Amino acid sequence: MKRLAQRLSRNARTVVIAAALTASLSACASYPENQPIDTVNEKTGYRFNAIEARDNSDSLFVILAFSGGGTRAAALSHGVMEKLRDTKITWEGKSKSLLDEVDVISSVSGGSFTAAYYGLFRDRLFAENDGFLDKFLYKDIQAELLKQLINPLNLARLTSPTFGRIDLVAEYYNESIFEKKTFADLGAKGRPFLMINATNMSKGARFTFTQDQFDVLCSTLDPFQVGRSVAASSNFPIAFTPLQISNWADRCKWPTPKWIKTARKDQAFGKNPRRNNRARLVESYRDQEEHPYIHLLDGGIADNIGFRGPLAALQSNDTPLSLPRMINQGGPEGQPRIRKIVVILVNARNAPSVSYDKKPSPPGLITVLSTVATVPMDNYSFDTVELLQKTFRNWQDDRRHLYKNPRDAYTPCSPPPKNLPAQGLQPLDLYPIVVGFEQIEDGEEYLGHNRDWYLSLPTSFVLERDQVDTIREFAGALLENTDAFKALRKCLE
Amino acid sequence: MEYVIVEFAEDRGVLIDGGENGRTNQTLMVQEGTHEFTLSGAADFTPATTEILVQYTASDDPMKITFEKRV
Repeated sequence: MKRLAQRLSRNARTVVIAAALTASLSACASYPENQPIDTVNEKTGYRFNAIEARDNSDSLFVILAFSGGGTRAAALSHGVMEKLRDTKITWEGKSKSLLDEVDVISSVSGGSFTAAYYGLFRDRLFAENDGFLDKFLYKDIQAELLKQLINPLNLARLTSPTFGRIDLVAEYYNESIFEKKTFADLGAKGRPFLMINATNMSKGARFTFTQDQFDVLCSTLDPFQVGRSVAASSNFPIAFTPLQISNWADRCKWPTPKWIKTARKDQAFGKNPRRNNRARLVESYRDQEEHPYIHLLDGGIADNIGFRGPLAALQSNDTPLSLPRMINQGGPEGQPRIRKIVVILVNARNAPSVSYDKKPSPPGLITVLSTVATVPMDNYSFDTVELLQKTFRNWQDDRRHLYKNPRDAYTPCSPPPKNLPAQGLQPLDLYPIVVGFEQIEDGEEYLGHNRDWYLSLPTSFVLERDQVDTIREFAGALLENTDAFKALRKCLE
Repeated sequence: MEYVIVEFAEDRGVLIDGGENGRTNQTLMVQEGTHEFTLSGAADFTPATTEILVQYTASDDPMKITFEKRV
């Protein structure tokens, strides 16, 4: 009897100690808060105009957009980067690789891993050891994340209301992949400028990790860990909790840009309601009382191609990065600032075959939810790709009158027209390129696999090594095969 | 894309909604919508600013916005 009492007492002590430990770990656990600032300095921080271009010219302006799609997307964008590295060009008398001329990389979800790794570590993206291949592409990231989630210490931390599963994931990415690097480290590397995109849950809108976005929140992006931004960008709903950002908008005076004041007048359908909408979204972050916190989900929810940010930059004079503004400004000695624009959309969209059309019974709840979640996004992505084509086509239409033969406005690398009017537009050489599995034609094979094989690759954070290698090689081969890329190479030889 | 030429007697910088956007007497690319135009440098022109809805232009038929030199 006495022994039983002693054992119970021992068990009770263990429970009390465990409870105390859990409570203490829970009390300690909280997400790392982004830091407030007192004043906004538009000349510093991680923004396009503040980071150094170094040997990267503006005249050949290269934009990459990396879509979501887990490891499949990361591998596809990795293959494109390898091809750009291996593409030697001569530009303005200097020999370099096309990769050295990349100015902007915009990414969501799986694509953000490749973008951020290159931004921070450059050639280690391609290294066989101690680089992106062994730290991410060849690694079973899902198993690693599961290990973190079932660790008893972490389970205790997860009982805290301000520490969610996504914070654990962010810790893992920070420590195991991105070596605790921050946006200050990223900015110190210079171009390319990264636009790592997540989705603001309450607005359903793109949230880009740039200082321009953080200015509105009166916060500094410099000490923010890049791994945490990638966690937000790839924050698959339900599997992980939303990632929190604190809004300090009441801590500083934010100089409201003039475009927001004029865009307020563009609400009517016949004016520019999209611009008006963008202005309202930016202003909404100033309502700190209504939005003291911002909850972020996967960037693919707002834009699964990762191209909406650069698209706004192509179409607007308002955005912090604005191609029309750069074109208007011109270069030194009356020369054009931008002569060629290359946009490569890396779209890892898949389309696994479904079996439910073969049965009379209705598909299950998970299948229905998955369809509802992905189909509208896929349709939106299709439109995004079309908008790139349409934007460039309009710019070419607008330059037809500059050429003796108007069709030259659409021909890559056309010689610049002579006797341009003093007041007129400058010619622009435009290269829109899409790399994706849907570009494979019926009957065509890449590395022994047809379109259906590639389109059936799953979305996950683990793929077989040979699948990863096949996707990488495919990306380079397809890029090489596109008419626009062939023309670009020829032009830059 | 819309097109605008800001006319002025001198070569000056053009500010669109407060941002530097090229020079006077050049065709400028402008997003459709309401914009405020003014010039950089000495405030020796009139009007001080022009706010206008830029729409229905073409690259070979740009909207013309004129600033006069103040004497």
